[in-house]
Amino acid sequence: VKTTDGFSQKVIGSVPTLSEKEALEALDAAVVAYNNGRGHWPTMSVSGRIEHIQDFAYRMKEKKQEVVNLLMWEIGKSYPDSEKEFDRTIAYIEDTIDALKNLDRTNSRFVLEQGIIGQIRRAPLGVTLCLGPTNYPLNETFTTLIPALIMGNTVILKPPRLGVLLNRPLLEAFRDAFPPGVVNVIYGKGRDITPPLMASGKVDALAFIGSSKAASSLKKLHPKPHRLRSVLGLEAKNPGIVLPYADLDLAVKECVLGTLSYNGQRCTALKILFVHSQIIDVFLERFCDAIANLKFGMPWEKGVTLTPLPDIEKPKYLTELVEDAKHFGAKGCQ
Amino acid sequence: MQLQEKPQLQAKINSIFPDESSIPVEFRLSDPIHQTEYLIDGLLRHWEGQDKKSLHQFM
Repeated sequence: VKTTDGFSQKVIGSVPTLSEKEALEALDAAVVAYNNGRGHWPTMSVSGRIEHIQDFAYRMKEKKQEVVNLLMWEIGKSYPDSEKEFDRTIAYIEDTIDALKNLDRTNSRFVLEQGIIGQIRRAPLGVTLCLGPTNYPLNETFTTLIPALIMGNTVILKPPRLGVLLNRPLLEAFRDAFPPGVVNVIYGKGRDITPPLMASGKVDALAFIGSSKAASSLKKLHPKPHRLRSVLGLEAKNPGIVLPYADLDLAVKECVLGTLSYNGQRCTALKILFVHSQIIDVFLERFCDAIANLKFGMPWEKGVTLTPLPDIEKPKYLTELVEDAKHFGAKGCQ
Repeated sequence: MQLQEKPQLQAKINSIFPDESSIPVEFRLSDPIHQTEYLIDGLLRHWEGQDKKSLHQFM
Protein backbone atom coordinates (compact mmCIF):
# COMPACT_ATOMS: atom_id res chain seq x y z
CA VAL A 1 0.00 0.00 0.00
CA LYS A 2 0.93 3.61 -0.50
CA THR A 3 1.81 5.54 2.65
CA THR A 4 3.26 8.96 3.29
CA ASP A 5 6.70 7.31 3.45
CA GLY A 6 6.31 5.65 0.06
CA PHE A 7 5.23 2.05 -0.45
CA SER A 8 5.01 -0.44 2.37
CA GLN A 9 3.94 -4.05 2.64
CA LYS A 10 0.76 -4.81 4.50
CA VAL A 11 0.79 -7.80 6.82
CA ILE A 12 -2.52 -9.61 6.48
CA GLY A 13 -1.94 -12.32 9.03
CA SER A 14 0.06 -15.22 10.34
CA VAL A 15 -0.47 -18.90 11.10
CA PRO A 16 1.19 -21.37 13.47
CA THR A 17 4.39 -23.08 12.38
CA LEU A 18 3.76 -26.48 13.91
CA SER A 19 6.45 -29.07 14.42
CA GLU A 20 6.71 -32.79 13.80
CA LYS A 21 5.29 -33.41 17.29
CA GLU A 22 1.91 -31.77 16.55
CA ALA A 23 1.79 -33.35 13.09
CA LEU A 24 2.18 -36.81 14.63
CA GLU A 25 -0.50 -35.99 17.21
CA ALA A 26 -2.87 -35.15 14.36
CA LEU A 27 -1.93 -38.44 12.71
CA ASP A 28 -2.62 -40.39 15.91
CA ALA A 29 -6.03 -38.73 16.23
CA ALA A 30 -6.89 -39.77 12.64
CA VAL A 31 -5.59 -43.33 13.24
CA VAL A 32 -7.68 -43.68 16.42
CA ALA A 33 -10.81 -42.27 14.74
CA TYR A 34 -10.40 -44.72 11.86
CA ASN A 35 -9.50 -47.63 14.14
CA ASN A 36 -8.62 -49.96 11.25
CA GLY A 37 -12.02 -49.35 9.69
CA ARG A 38 -13.91 -50.16 12.89
CA GLY A 39 -14.21 -46.57 14.12
CA HIS A 40 -17.45 -44.65 14.52
CA TRP A 41 -16.96 -42.67 11.28
CA PRO A 42 -15.98 -45.47 8.84
CA THR A 43 -18.78 -47.72 10.15
CA MET A 44 -21.45 -45.00 10.07
CA SER A 45 -24.27 -45.42 7.52
CA VAL A 46 -23.97 -43.56 4.22
CA SER A 47 -26.96 -41.39 5.14
CA GLY A 48 -25.35 -40.58 8.48
CA ARG A 49 -22.14 -39.37 6.84
CA ILE A 50 -24.12 -37.38 4.27
CA GLU A 51 -25.86 -35.56 7.11
CA HIS A 52 -22.52 -34.57 8.62
CA ILE A 53 -21.26 -33.29 5.24
CA GLN A 54 -24.47 -31.33 4.69
CA ASP A 55 -24.15 -29.82 8.13
CA PHE A 56 -20.60 -28.80 7.27
CA ALA A 57 -21.66 -27.23 3.93
CA TYR A 58 -24.32 -25.24 5.79
CA ARG A 59 -21.78 -23.94 8.30
CA MET A 60 -19.32 -23.21 5.52
CA LYS A 61 -21.85 -21.11 3.58
CA GLU A 62 -22.26 -18.88 6.65
CA LYS A 63 -18.54 -18.04 6.40
CA LYS A 64 -18.61 -17.20 2.71
CA GLN A 65 -17.73 -13.50 2.89
CA GLU A 66 -14.80 -14.06 5.23
CA VAL A 67 -13.38 -16.96 3.20
CA VAL A 68 -13.76 -15.18 -0.15
CA ASN A 69 -12.12 -12.02 1.16
CA LEU A 70 -9.16 -13.92 2.60
CA LEU A 71 -8.76 -15.90 -0.61
CA MET A 72 -8.63 -12.64 -2.54
CA TRP A 73 -6.16 -10.99 -0.18
CA GLU A 74 -3.82 -13.89 0.26
CA ILE A 75 -3.36 -15.20 -3.27
CA GLY A 76 -4.38 -12.09 -5.22
CA LYS A 77 -7.26 -13.75 -7.04
CA SER A 78 -9.84 -11.28 -8.37
CA TYR A 79 -12.99 -10.92 -6.26
CA PRO A 80 -15.36 -12.50 -8.83
CA ASP A 81 -12.96 -15.43 -9.31
CA SER A 82 -12.53 -15.88 -5.56
CA GLU A 83 -16.30 -15.90 -5.18
CA LYS A 84 -16.58 -18.37 -8.06
CA GLU A 85 -14.06 -20.64 -6.36
CA PHE A 86 -16.17 -20.65 -3.19
CA ASP A 87 -19.47 -21.26 -5.01
CA ARG A 88 -17.96 -24.02 -7.12
CA THR A 89 -16.72 -25.69 -3.95
CA ILE A 90 -20.20 -25.67 -2.43
CA ALA A 91 -21.61 -27.08 -5.71
CA TYR A 92 -18.89 -29.73 -5.64
CA ILE A 93 -19.92 -30.82 -2.15
CA GLU A 94 -23.54 -31.18 -3.31
CA ASP A 95 -22.47 -33.09 -6.44
CA THR A 96 -20.32 -35.43 -4.34
CA ILE A 97 -23.30 -36.21 -2.13
CA ASP A 98 -25.38 -37.03 -5.23
CA ALA A 99 -22.58 -39.16 -6.65
CA LEU A 100 -22.40 -41.18 -3.43
CA LYS A 101 -26.19 -41.66 -3.37
CA ASN A 102 -26.00 -43.00 -6.95
CA LEU A 103 -23.06 -45.23 -6.10
CA ASP A 104 -24.91 -46.55 -3.08
CA ARG A 105 -27.99 -47.34 -5.19
CA THR A 106 -25.97 -49.10 -7.91
CA ASN A 107 -24.00 -51.03 -5.31
CA SER A 108 -27.13 -52.35 -3.65
CA ARG A 109 -27.87 -54.44 -6.75
CA PHE A 110 -26.55 -57.95 -7.19
CA VAL A 111 -24.29 -58.77 -10.11
CA LEU A 112 -24.45 -62.17 -11.83
CA GLU A 113 -21.11 -63.08 -13.37
CA GLN A 114 -20.18 -66.56 -14.62
CA GLY A 115 -22.79 -68.18 -12.44
CA ILE A 116 -21.64 -66.32 -9.33
CA ILE A 117 -23.87 -63.82 -7.60
CA GLY A 118 -21.95 -60.92 -6.12
CA GLN A 119 -22.49 -57.57 -4.54
CA ILE A 120 -19.81 -54.93 -4.93
CA ARG A 121 -19.43 -52.43 -2.12
CA ARG A 122 -16.90 -49.63 -1.81
CA ALA A 123 -15.00 -49.29 1.43
CA PRO A 124 -12.90 -46.44 2.82
CA LEU A 125 -9.12 -46.57 2.38
CA GLY A 126 -8.09 -45.34 5.81
CA VAL A 127 -6.14 -42.38 7.08
CA THR A 128 -5.86 -39.83 4.28
CA LEU A 129 -3.38 -36.99 3.99
CA CYS A 130 -4.88 -34.13 1.92
CA LEU A 131 -2.52 -31.58 0.41
CA GLY A 132 -3.96 -28.93 -1.90
CA PRO A 133 -2.31 -26.33 -4.15
CA THR A 134 -1.84 -22.56 -3.85
CA ASN A 135 -3.71 -21.60 -7.02
CA TYR A 136 -7.05 -23.10 -5.93
CA PRO A 137 -6.41 -23.57 -2.21
CA LEU A 138 -10.08 -24.02 -1.37
CA ASN A 139 -11.60 -25.76 -4.38
CA GLU A 140 -8.82 -28.19 -5.23
CA THR A 141 -8.18 -29.10 -1.61
CA PHE A 142 -11.87 -29.86 -1.15
CA THR A 143 -12.01 -32.04 -4.27
CA THR A 144 -9.84 -34.49 -2.34
CA LEU A 145 -11.14 -33.77 1.16
CA ILE A 146 -14.88 -34.15 0.58
CA PRO A 147 -14.82 -37.50 -1.29
CA ALA A 148 -12.34 -38.86 1.27
CA LEU A 149 -14.62 -37.88 4.15
CA ILE A 150 -17.89 -38.98 2.63
CA MET A 151 -16.49 -42.46 1.97
CA GLY A 152 -15.58 -42.86 5.65
CA ASN A 153 -11.87 -42.02 5.65
CA THR A 154 -10.32 -39.90 8.37
CA VAL A 155 -8.28 -36.93 7.25
CA ILE A 156 -5.25 -34.82 8.02
CA LEU A 157 -5.47 -31.58 6.08
CA LYS A 158 -2.41 -29.44 5.55
CA PRO A 159 -3.07 -26.29 3.55
CA PRO A 160 -0.50 -25.14 0.96
CA ARG A 161 2.19 -22.57 1.74
CA LEU A 162 0.00 -19.76 0.39
CA GLY A 163 -3.77 -19.93 0.66
CA VAL A 164 -3.81 -20.80 4.36
CA LEU A 165 -5.72 -18.08 6.18
CA LEU A 166 -8.99 -18.91 4.43
CA ASN A 167 -9.09 -22.11 6.50
CA ARG A 168 -9.32 -20.15 9.74
CA PRO A 169 -13.06 -19.35 9.48
CA LEU A 170 -13.71 -23.01 8.63
CA LEU A 171 -11.94 -24.57 11.63
CA GLU A 172 -15.01 -24.34 13.89
CA ALA A 173 -17.17 -25.79 11.12
CA PHE A 174 -14.82 -28.79 10.84
CA ARG A 175 -14.81 -29.17 14.62
CA ASP A 176 -18.58 -28.95 15.04
CA ALA A 177 -19.71 -30.88 11.94
CA PHE A 178 -17.57 -34.00 12.35
CA PRO A 179 -16.78 -36.45 15.17
CA PRO A 180 -13.39 -35.90 16.89
CA GLY A 181 -10.33 -37.02 14.92
CA VAL A 182 -12.17 -37.26 11.58
CA VAL A 183 -10.80 -33.93 10.30
CA ASN A 184 -7.49 -32.63 11.64
CA VAL A 185 -6.02 -29.39 10.31
CA ILE A 186 -2.34 -28.60 10.76
CA TYR A 187 -0.10 -25.76 9.59
CA GLY A 188 3.59 -25.40 9.10
CA LYS A 189 6.45 -25.92 6.71
CA GLY A 190 5.66 -28.81 4.40
CA ARG A 191 9.22 -30.08 4.45
CA ASP A 192 9.18 -30.29 8.28
CA ILE A 193 5.80 -31.82 8.97
CA THR A 194 4.80 -33.88 5.93
CA PRO A 195 7.80 -36.28 5.70
CA PRO A 196 7.36 -37.64 9.27
CA LEU A 197 3.71 -38.36 8.50
CA MET A 198 4.59 -40.34 5.39
CA ALA A 199 7.53 -42.10 7.07
CA SER A 200 5.27 -43.31 9.89
CA GLY A 201 3.62 -45.77 7.51
CA LYS A 202 0.25 -44.87 9.04
CA VAL A 203 -0.98 -42.80 6.09
CA ASP A 204 -3.10 -45.12 3.92
CA ALA A 205 -3.96 -42.65 1.16
CA LEU A 206 -2.13 -39.62 -0.17
CA ALA A 207 -4.31 -37.03 -1.89
CA PHE A 208 -1.98 -34.47 -3.39
CA ILE A 209 -2.29 -31.71 -5.96
CA GLY A 210 1.00 -30.10 -6.90
CA SER A 211 4.26 -30.95 -8.64
CA SER A 212 5.25 -34.46 -9.70
CA LYS A 213 8.63 -33.96 -8.02
CA ALA A 214 7.03 -33.36 -4.62
CA ALA A 215 4.60 -36.25 -5.15
CA SER A 216 7.43 -38.66 -5.94
CA SER A 217 9.49 -37.69 -2.93
CA LEU A 218 6.47 -38.02 -0.61
CA LYS A 219 5.51 -41.44 -1.94
CA LYS A 220 9.07 -42.73 -1.53
CA LEU A 221 9.01 -41.92 2.18
CA HIS A 222 6.27 -44.45 2.89
CA PRO A 223 7.85 -47.63 4.35
CA LYS A 224 5.36 -49.80 2.42
CA PRO A 225 4.79 -47.94 -0.86
CA HIS A 226 2.75 -50.83 -2.30
CA ARG A 227 0.15 -50.27 0.39
CA LEU A 228 -0.13 -46.55 -0.13
CA ARG A 229 -3.01 -45.42 -2.34
CA SER A 230 -2.39 -42.15 -4.18
CA VAL A 231 -4.83 -39.69 -5.67
CA LEU A 232 -2.70 -37.17 -7.54
CA GLY A 233 -3.27 -34.10 -9.69
CA LEU A 234 0.10 -33.02 -11.05
CA GLU A 235 1.40 -30.26 -13.27
CA ALA A 236 0.31 -29.97 -16.89
CA LYS A 237 1.73 -28.50 -20.09
CA ASN A 238 -1.14 -27.70 -22.39
CA PRO A 239 -0.51 -26.47 -25.94
CA GLY A 240 -2.97 -24.42 -28.00
CA ILE A 241 -2.85 -24.94 -31.77
CA VAL A 242 -4.13 -22.28 -34.18
CA LEU A 243 -4.68 -23.47 -37.75
CA PRO A 244 -4.51 -21.17 -40.82
CA TYR A 245 -8.28 -21.22 -41.42
CA ALA A 246 -9.20 -20.45 -37.78
CA ASP A 247 -11.74 -17.75 -36.92
CA LEU A 248 -9.14 -15.28 -35.65
CA ASP A 249 -11.43 -13.26 -33.37
CA LEU A 250 -12.48 -16.41 -31.60
CA ALA A 251 -8.97 -17.88 -31.55
CA VAL A 252 -7.47 -14.72 -30.04
CA LYS A 253 -10.22 -14.50 -27.44
CA GLU A 254 -9.81 -18.15 -26.44
CA CYS A 255 -6.03 -17.92 -26.37
CA VAL A 256 -6.09 -14.84 -24.10
CA LEU A 257 -8.55 -16.54 -21.80
CA GLY A 258 -6.67 -19.83 -21.88
CA THR A 259 -3.25 -18.36 -21.21
CA LEU A 260 -4.09 -15.57 -18.79
CA SER A 261 -7.11 -16.40 -16.64
CA TYR A 262 -5.95 -15.85 -13.06
CA ASN A 263 -2.63 -14.64 -14.50
CA GLY A 264 -2.09 -18.06 -16.08
CA GLN A 265 -1.67 -19.67 -12.65
CA ARG A 266 -3.79 -22.69 -13.52
CA CYS A 267 -2.78 -26.27 -14.28
CA THR A 268 -5.23 -26.17 -17.20
CA ALA A 269 -3.80 -22.90 -18.59
CA LEU A 270 -2.44 -22.86 -22.13
CA LYS A 271 1.34 -22.85 -21.65
CA ILE A 272 2.42 -22.68 -25.28
CA LEU A 273 0.67 -21.65 -28.50
CA PHE A 274 1.50 -23.13 -31.90
CA VAL A 275 0.27 -20.77 -34.59
CA HIS A 276 0.44 -21.58 -38.30
CA SER A 277 3.13 -19.55 -40.10
CA GLN A 278 0.59 -18.23 -42.65
CA ILE A 279 -1.31 -16.30 -39.99
CA ILE A 280 1.33 -15.73 -37.32
CA ASP A 281 1.82 -12.01 -38.03
CA VAL A 282 -1.83 -11.04 -37.93
CA PHE A 283 -2.46 -13.37 -34.98
CA LEU A 284 0.40 -11.87 -32.97
CA GLU A 285 -0.75 -8.33 -33.67
CA ARG A 286 -4.29 -9.02 -32.48
CA PHE A 287 -3.12 -11.15 -29.57
CA CYS A 288 -0.80 -8.38 -28.32
CA ASP A 289 -3.56 -5.79 -28.75
CA ALA A 290 -5.95 -7.93 -26.75
CA ILE A 291 -3.39 -8.37 -23.96
CA ALA A 292 -2.59 -4.65 -23.92
CA ASN A 293 -6.28 -4.02 -23.28
CA LEU A 294 -6.50 -6.34 -20.29
CA LYS A 295 -7.04 -4.39 -17.11
CA PHE A 296 -4.49 -4.96 -14.40
CA GLY A 297 -4.77 -3.88 -10.81
CA MET A 298 -5.85 -4.90 -7.33
CA PRO A 299 -8.10 -7.97 -7.12
CA TRP A 300 -11.12 -6.02 -5.82
CA GLU A 301 -11.16 -3.59 -8.77
CA LYS A 302 -14.05 -4.06 -11.17
CA GLY A 303 -13.21 -5.75 -14.49
CA VAL A 304 -9.63 -6.56 -13.48
CA THR A 305 -7.97 -9.50 -15.25
CA LEU A 306 -4.32 -9.36 -14.22
CA THR A 307 -3.73 -9.23 -10.48
CA PRO A 308 -0.71 -9.25 -8.12
CA LEU A 309 1.27 -12.46 -7.64
CA PRO A 310 1.15 -13.88 -4.10
CA ASP A 311 4.77 -14.90 -3.89
CA ILE A 312 7.35 -12.16 -3.43
CA GLU A 313 10.01 -14.24 -5.25
CA LYS A 314 7.87 -14.83 -8.35
CA PRO A 315 8.49 -11.59 -10.33
CA LYS A 316 12.24 -12.23 -10.13
CA TYR A 317 11.81 -15.82 -11.30
CA LEU A 318 9.55 -14.77 -14.19
CA THR A 319 12.04 -12.09 -15.27
CA GLU A 320 14.75 -14.74 -15.29
CA LEU A 321 12.60 -16.92 -17.54
CA VAL A 322 12.13 -14.02 -19.98
CA GLU A 323 15.87 -13.33 -19.98
CA ASP A 324 16.61 -17.00 -20.50
CA ALA A 325 14.20 -17.16 -23.44
CA LYS A 326 15.79 -14.05 -24.98
CA HIS A 327 19.20 -15.66 -24.57
CA PHE A 328 17.96 -18.49 -26.80
CA GLY A 329 16.69 -16.08 -29.43
CA ALA A 330 13.15 -15.32 -28.29
CA LYS A 331 11.66 -11.92 -29.11
CA GLY A 332 9.21 -10.06 -26.92
CA CYS A 333 6.25 -8.41 -28.58
CA GLN A 334 4.64 -6.55 -25.68
CA MET B 1 1.77 3.29 -31.86
CA GLN B 2 3.58 1.28 -29.21
CA LEU B 3 5.87 4.21 -28.50
CA GLN B 4 2.91 6.43 -27.71
CA GLU B 5 1.47 3.86 -25.35
CA LYS B 6 4.57 3.39 -23.27
CA PRO B 7 4.35 6.46 -21.03
CA GLN B 8 0.70 5.68 -20.37
CA LEU B 9 1.59 2.14 -19.39
CA GLN B 10 4.25 3.41 -17.00
CA ALA B 11 1.70 5.77 -15.43
CA LYS B 12 -0.74 2.90 -15.03
CA ILE B 13 1.94 0.83 -13.31
CA ASN B 14 2.88 3.68 -10.99
CA SER B 15 -0.69 4.12 -9.86
CA ILE B 16 -1.31 0.43 -9.25
CA PHE B 17 -0.74 0.37 -5.49
CA PRO B 18 -3.56 2.00 -3.55
CA ASP B 19 -3.38 3.78 -0.26
CA GLU B 20 -5.21 2.11 2.59
CA SER B 21 -8.12 4.55 2.54
CA SER B 22 -8.90 3.99 -1.13
CA ILE B 23 -9.60 0.28 -0.61
CA PRO B 24 -13.40 -0.16 -0.68
CA VAL B 25 -14.75 -0.73 2.84
CA GLU B 26 -16.30 -4.11 2.05
CA PHE B 27 -12.90 -5.52 1.03
CA ARG B 28 -10.80 -3.98 3.78
CA LEU B 29 -9.10 -6.16 6.36
CA SER B 30 -9.28 -4.20 9.57
CA ASP B 31 -6.73 -6.14 11.60
CA PRO B 32 -4.15 -8.71 10.58
CA ILE B 33 -5.37 -12.23 11.31
CA HIS B 34 -2.84 -13.69 13.68
CA GLN B 35 -4.05 -17.22 13.90
CA THR B 36 -2.84 -19.49 16.67
CA GLU B 37 -5.50 -22.22 16.36
CA TYR B 38 -5.18 -25.62 14.76
CA LEU B 39 -7.52 -28.61 14.91
CA ILE B 40 -6.57 -31.99 16.34
CA ASP B 41 -8.98 -34.67 17.56
CA GLY B 42 -11.98 -32.37 17.60
CA LEU B 43 -10.29 -29.68 19.69
CA LEU B 44 -9.06 -26.27 18.65
CA ARG B 45 -5.62 -26.05 20.16
CA HIS B 46 -3.64 -22.89 20.58
CA TRP B 47 -0.13 -22.76 19.36
CA GLU B 48 2.14 -21.59 22.13
CA GLY B 49 4.93 -20.29 19.93
CA GLN B 50 5.69 -16.84 21.29
CA ASP B 51 8.25 -15.70 18.82
CA LYS B 52 6.42 -13.77 16.12
CA LYS B 53 9.28 -14.18 13.73
CA SER B 54 8.59 -17.87 13.48
CA LEU B 55 5.05 -17.14 12.44
CA HIS B 56 4.58 -17.25 8.73
CA GLN B 57 3.53 -13.82 7.54
CA PHE B 58 1.61 -13.01 4.41
CA MET B 59 2.03 -9.71 2.68
